[in-house]
Amino acid sequence: MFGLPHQRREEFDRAALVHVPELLRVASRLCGSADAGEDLLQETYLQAWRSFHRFEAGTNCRAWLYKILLFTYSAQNRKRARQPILVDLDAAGETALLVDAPTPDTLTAEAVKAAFDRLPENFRTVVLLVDVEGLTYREAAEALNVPLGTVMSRLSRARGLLRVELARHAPESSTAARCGMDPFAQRRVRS
Amino acid sequence: MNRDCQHVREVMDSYLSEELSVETNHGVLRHVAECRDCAAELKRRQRLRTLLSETLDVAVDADRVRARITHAVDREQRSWVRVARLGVVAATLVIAVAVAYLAGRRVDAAAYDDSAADHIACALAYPEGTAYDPNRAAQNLVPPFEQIVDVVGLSHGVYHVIDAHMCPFKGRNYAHLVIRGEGQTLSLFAERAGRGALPATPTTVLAGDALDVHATARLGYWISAVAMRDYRVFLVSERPTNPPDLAQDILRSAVRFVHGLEK
Repeated sequence: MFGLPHQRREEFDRAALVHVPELLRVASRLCGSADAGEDLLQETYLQAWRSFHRFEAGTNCRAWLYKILLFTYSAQNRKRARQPILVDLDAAGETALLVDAPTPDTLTAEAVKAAFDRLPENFRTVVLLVDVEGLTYREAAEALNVPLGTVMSRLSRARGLLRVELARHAPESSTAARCGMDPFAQRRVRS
Repeated sequence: MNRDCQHVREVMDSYLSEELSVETNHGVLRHVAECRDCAAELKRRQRLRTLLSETLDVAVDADRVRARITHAVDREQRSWVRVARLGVVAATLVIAVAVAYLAGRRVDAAAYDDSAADHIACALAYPEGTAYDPNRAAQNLVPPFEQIVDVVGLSHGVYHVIDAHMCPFKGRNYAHLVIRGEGQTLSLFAERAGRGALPATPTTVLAGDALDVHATARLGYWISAVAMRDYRVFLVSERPTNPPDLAQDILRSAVRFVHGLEK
């Protein structure tokens, strides 16, 4: 679709490289270090360049890049070691509990980071994409290669878990502590 | 917390993500304007989201990483260009080999000249009265041409084979049958196909065979050529035989011999 090689390259630079900063942040967060994030992002962009002929101009390049990033990340993880399989929370029981979970009054950056880090990985990823990087639900669905409804339910549970985690570790006076909500007391979520 | 509160809490995060329909959005706004608990919860969730962004914001050197990525893609692009170029070279070589192979099954223009020149240099040098000596022929012919005289035959009408030998000429090595009759000398050459191409249009078709005959005049001699799968056959004469079919008959006998080799 991009006739000549130099046209294809110009289009790639124009459409894809603009997203380096936010993708780098996400890659670094996913990998847990800036160096590993850089390596992941470089591999992501090389993969993107190799398959750029399949990218349709005018469609969402950002979501397309996220998709490649997440695919590359999970592929690297599979290479390193088998990760524990995520056990989804029981949709019928705990989701309702999580949706209602109130946010603690007292929030600190450290508590938020600690609560986020305790989330299962696929919950962290969807929160990172939507609540931090501002992807739309549809973009996140495309990036994660899951249906829109899956993104919405995953987000709902991730946000609820985050609030519960914050409440668990909040001072005694906080809202969640007062409510005594701790689904983790009965069942841990493995990541 | 009533049912309205519960519904608003359910959609509150989607409201913050601006993912609600206009109608639902207005419903949330109307509710939080009247419900202090939900308004407070909305503020806490906004605060949580802000803290998330701040906490998870990693300091990155985007310019340096962009340059690194650009360099990596440059390198990738160059390697692909190299691969593409190698591909073109390889394809060209394959085509050249294929063309050479196909051309080898035909007769090049220089082969006509060589045949005429070899005929003058070799066949015309035999003195009058030379008779065929099977022992001499057996000594001079090399595989796979040892049986060529047996298959072609010693006589075709008034034409008789007077000698058979290998004839190295200008880097080629013909099996050369010298044939005399009607006061003229003929040369029958057979060689492995190796190069060249015949003219686009054959002059005739070998009688009794489907093979094209490409005839031309060189150095005052008439040359008929037949290209087969692995061999080429030439017949050089000063003038047409009488009857003309005799030359075709000699050529056809050589083709029969080559057919035997190619089986």
